[in-house]
Amino acid sequence: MRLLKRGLTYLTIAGYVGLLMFGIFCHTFTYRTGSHPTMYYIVWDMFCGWSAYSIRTHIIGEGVSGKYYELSPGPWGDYKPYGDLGRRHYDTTGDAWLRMAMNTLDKTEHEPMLRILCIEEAWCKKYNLPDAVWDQRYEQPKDFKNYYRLRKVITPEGVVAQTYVPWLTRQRHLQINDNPRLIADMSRGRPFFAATVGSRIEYEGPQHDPDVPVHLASPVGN
Amino acid sequence: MDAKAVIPAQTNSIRDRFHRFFFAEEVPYGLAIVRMLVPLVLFGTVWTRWPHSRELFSTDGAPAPLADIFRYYDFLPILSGTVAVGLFAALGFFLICSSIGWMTRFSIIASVVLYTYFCFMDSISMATKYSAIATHVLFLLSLSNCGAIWSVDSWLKGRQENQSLPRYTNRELPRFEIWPQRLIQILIAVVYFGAAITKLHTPGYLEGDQISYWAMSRYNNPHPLGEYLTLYPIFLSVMSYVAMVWEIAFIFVIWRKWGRIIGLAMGTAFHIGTFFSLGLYIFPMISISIYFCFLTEQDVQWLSARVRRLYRKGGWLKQYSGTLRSVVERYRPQPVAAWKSPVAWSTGIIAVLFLSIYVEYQQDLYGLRRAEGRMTLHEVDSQFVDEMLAPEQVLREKDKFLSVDLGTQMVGGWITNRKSDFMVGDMMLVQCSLNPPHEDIWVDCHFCEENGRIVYRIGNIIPRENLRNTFQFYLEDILEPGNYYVSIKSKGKEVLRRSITLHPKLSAVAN
Repeated sequence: MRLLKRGLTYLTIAGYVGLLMFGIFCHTFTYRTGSHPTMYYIVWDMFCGWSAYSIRTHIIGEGVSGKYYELSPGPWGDYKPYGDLGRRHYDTTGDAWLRMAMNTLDKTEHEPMLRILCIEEAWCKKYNLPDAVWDQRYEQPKDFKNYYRLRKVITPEGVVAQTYVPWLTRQRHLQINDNPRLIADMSRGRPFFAATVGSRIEYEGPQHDPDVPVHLASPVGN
Repeated sequence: MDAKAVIPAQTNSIRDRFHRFFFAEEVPYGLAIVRMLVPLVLFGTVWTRWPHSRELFSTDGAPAPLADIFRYYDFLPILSGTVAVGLFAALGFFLICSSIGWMTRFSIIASVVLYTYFCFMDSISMATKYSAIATHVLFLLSLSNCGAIWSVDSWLKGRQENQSLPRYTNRELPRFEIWPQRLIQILIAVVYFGAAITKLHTPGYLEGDQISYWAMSRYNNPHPLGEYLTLYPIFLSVMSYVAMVWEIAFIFVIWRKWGRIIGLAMGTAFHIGTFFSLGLYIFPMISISIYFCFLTEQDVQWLSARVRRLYRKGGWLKQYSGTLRSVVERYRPQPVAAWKSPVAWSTGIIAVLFLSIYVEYQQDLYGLRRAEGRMTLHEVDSQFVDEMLAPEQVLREKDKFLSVDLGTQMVGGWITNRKSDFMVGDMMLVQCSLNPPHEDIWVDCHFCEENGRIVYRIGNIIPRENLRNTFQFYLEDILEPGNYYVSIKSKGKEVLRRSITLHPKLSAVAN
């Protein structure tokens, strides 16, 4: 019995240390870090990088009357997990926006909805600095400016009808595309016909044309 | 005492050292403190989430399963609202029981199972890296004998033993193999090593840019010190280097006496620093709590010798200590049958389950049972919606720039003596910082008189991978002392400006 217990102890130590080492290996060489949910528990990527822009999320519903309603937070209030911000702002992937919106619609009295819009708001982080710090570093007053970007359009039935890349990704694309030679090379290298099976004819980059208003196909847009 | 214990039979071979490292026997003081603190901190996070547990974790709300991010849909079942509310309250009960050491092993096992489940159910507001670390710690505590001392279990057991032993018998505290404690220590070291790897992968970390942007963000609690430190990016850069070197070195130095003291002192300072500079509250509390696993039996003996000396010197301490001891003894339960404690514990769970479900039902989070009917949605101002749905706005030039700083001295790529007063003959440095992402950008830097007349004009291309560019101006003798300004322009527009005052050159005074 004592021998069995000692054997199990050795196995536990070896297994646990081995697991931690596997996590370090995967993390160091970026090997299968996203292959399974349990990887979250052995990959220690506590500092994934922070952008220069603050991002916030708005989830609103458009009623048949043309009025817009706030769908997150629900009318019962917001849960703020880590400070003064509501839960939706921490959902960087946007995977839970649909559930948040549908939950609010499910629990409230409201007119029929036409569509649900998930909109991202961004602004330069330097404007977050308190006035005392701002005045020491800048001579001009704060000139705050928000940028908005539609991220998702959802039908009242809970189907994601349109998805667009995040505002930051969009900015990155715009800045890479700010190179006429690169754009010319890209156009030249793209075949008019699909040359190989599965290849795309059209450029796969950001599709949301800023000058085209958002329209939904039938039946949502009726 | 037998001969084996007296004659040191162990050698310094790797096998023996390994054996001593993992299987030496000690009183689990350190683990007992970790057991008391970590569940208590986690209870705080559970307590604040419980009123929203239906919304956060159940099918009757908007859960955000962690597995969905990894594209493993339906990895774990999502519970109904009532069950989630009850189990989340039970988790709070188990955490408290773990902390006080009541039915310790069962409480910790139940805690680790439920805590992991609920973290998996809400990747937005429950699953964080501190919760991942805490899950590991709870798991390792469940394998240990952390409840053998300083716990309700040991308190109850002590009474029974005191009665069975002869009077004045000196009862020794139980000793156990320290491998669970070692595994927690290895976990901490590996976490820091992994964190250092992340920092190595992160561009702009060592220059201090990343920390600076983090300090400007408002995703965490208020952190005025961090906002103030953005004025001194060189300090952030130095601290970034120190933090990374410390994180890598931790695993190598922590096993020796002075390495342990220095490593833990730096770690404590680092985590307290994140509290004030980044607004992290729970992470430092968890991290500092688990540092107690480095506490050895010798440390406690050393500490208790100091306390005993103080005790002998201070009569008041002796008096209060005696009073406290008598109070504890008065409230210690009479010898109870072995089955009574588990029954009371089980009754507690059932009571917590039903009470929590009842209270939450009465609270009626969604207002579904209100006399006036269901809640109505809040209308959003249509003007605000028009603003949000307007055609995409082009990023302003001024938003691509972070700051412009003037000085004469640079360290680590940063101007260290930021100032606005210069003397004729100085070499003035103008550092222009940009926000990522930005395109390859031409930046004009104009040195102008107060009335706007350009005195010097230089420019440079800042490639997209660079966040800073430094222009140099030699303030020649021909310049009249007075007020000037530096203007940074992009695409013909002024984006930043700094005023300066030029003073005459001080000449040597002849004797």
